[in-house]
Amino acid sequence: MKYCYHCGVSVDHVTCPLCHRKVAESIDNEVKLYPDYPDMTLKKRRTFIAKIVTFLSIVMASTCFVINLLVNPDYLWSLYVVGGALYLFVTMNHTILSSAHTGSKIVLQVISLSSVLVIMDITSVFQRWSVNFAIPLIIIMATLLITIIILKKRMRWREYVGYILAMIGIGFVPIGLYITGIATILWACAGTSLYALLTLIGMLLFSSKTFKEEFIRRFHL
Amino acid sequence: MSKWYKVDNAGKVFHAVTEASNSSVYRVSVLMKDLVDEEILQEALDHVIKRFPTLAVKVRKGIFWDFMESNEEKLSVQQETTYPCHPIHPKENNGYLFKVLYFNKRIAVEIFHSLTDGTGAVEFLKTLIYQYLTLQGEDIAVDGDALLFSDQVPSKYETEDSFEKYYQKSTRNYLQDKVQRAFQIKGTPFDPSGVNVIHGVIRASALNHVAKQKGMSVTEFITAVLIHAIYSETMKYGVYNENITIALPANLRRKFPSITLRNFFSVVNVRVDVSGDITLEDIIKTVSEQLRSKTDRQHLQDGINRHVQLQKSLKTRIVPLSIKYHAMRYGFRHYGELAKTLTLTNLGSINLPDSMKSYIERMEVVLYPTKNSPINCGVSSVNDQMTITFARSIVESEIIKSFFNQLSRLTGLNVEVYSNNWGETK
Repeated sequence: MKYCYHCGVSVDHVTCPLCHRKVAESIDNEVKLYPDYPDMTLKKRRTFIAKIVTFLSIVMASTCFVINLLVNPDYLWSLYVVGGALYLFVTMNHTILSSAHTGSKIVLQVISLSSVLVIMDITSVFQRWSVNFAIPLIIIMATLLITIIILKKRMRWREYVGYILAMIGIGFVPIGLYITGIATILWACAGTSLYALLTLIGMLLFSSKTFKEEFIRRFHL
Repeated sequence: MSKWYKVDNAGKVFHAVTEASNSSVYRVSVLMKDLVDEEILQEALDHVIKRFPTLAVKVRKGIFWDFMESNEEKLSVQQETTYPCHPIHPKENNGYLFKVLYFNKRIAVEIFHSLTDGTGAVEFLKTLIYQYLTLQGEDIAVDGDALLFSDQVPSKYETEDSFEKYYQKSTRNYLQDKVQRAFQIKGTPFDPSGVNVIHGVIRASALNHVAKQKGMSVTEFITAVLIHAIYSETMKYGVYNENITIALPANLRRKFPSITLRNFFSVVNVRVDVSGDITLEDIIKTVSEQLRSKTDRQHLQDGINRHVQLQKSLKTRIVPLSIKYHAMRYGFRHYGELAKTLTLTNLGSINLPDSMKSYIERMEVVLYPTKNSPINCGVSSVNDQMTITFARSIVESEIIKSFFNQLSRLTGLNVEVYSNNWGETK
């Protein structure tokens, strides 16, 4: 054990941890007290890629929007690009790069993809293909996907309860769109909502206890 | 069906305020006399973990509050590779909010503060070490209730939220209590960010003797020396209207009978005005007076009521979690963090069976630094070895240097210092 006369303490290092003055030429520590810390920059890579994606999305969207306004402001074609850039941003930064729950990735994909398709539909004369066909299909596919995950992960399905409930809730959006006159094809909208209702009934019938328990936990005050 | 627990009253705030610069992860560790065997430590952990049901949990999101659910996954021991109190990412840790680490002779437990306080962590560590030594074939005799055994069934008292139990309805509106802003330590954050720890080891009985001679407890003495170090290194020259405030977590189990293994502590703020010239004797007098009056039962009862009252009101309860967390973060920054200069936690002398002591060199407590409190201090003693540990997230170390310098000068005792050297040029 060495002694640092400047700080008045015994030291087991080459330099004093308090004043950083050298107190020994070398220390023969037979057993180290702490590890040598390896380079910790690897973890930053993911954040760096996310920043690049964010920057690229902003560059794409803003450049096209400005060109659009300068060249032919009567037809806002740049909204296609803005929608695409937004979707790229969500897909890269949330679906691919983030460590978020798979359930939340699916729900956010449904919301972002639906929004992009609606923007594209509206930009090109609003033929209503997005609200009539695309959104109902996306919702059914996503609900089916979460149902399959739940059936496969039996032991850990509880974690997906919130997300399947969210999808069931979203499943009733198309019928709302039909009632308000935004969507015009009844069978697609009603089919989606019926599918959501059947999923809910199935959940309640086969595992009402877990459902009830999960509800109590998630909503406890 | 898996068990679930509400997050206890003190624990809720840690869910809200945790971020990269505030991990809410603290460490209790022991330095063994021999090198640690990874396989035996893993076996010991597998035995012990079920004995602590409120630690073996994963956190789940709720609409109004988060909650804990029992975790059936395996928790693997890990070799220490990064700095102490590194944020815990549950996804990389099988959902668990605590880690068991080893490095050469050290066995460390790092815990997200929402699970338990220092007392709970020490109980877990004691049981783990006991199991580890037993699996190594050592004959450890344990008398009385010095530790919890892994084959015992957990008592319901161990899993209770004692804040709820001792809460008394009060008409006082604690939100109207005025908070005095304290002096804040400023410095250059490490790049890359991390935590540097400096441990100082001193003979506990000798320090106790010195403190007794001055008519005070060890905690009072250390607090006073620390305040003097902060004053002499940062505020001696210039005009300051702020005060130096040391936040001392108080173990409520000492005044309110409880054997809970969840959080049950309150924070006592010791405040010293340093507007003019001030001597160590002045500081000692103020610290002793305040610490004694603020750790009486009524004062601590107020602390419990303050904690629980706000969370019990219906207005708070029915607000969605994300909004509540924003409000809690605001309260933490403006009422908790700005009201203190640093935190000093003293777990005291750890009650270990005599037969275990011969296998243990000493104990360390590392308290995570935060953005506004970039230096924190943890104290514990075992085997007559007291370890005073400073954890800091800034380059500047003058306060720590001054503290140990004064400690060795005032007591005449030898202080042995070692560090993890984070941020030092090699």
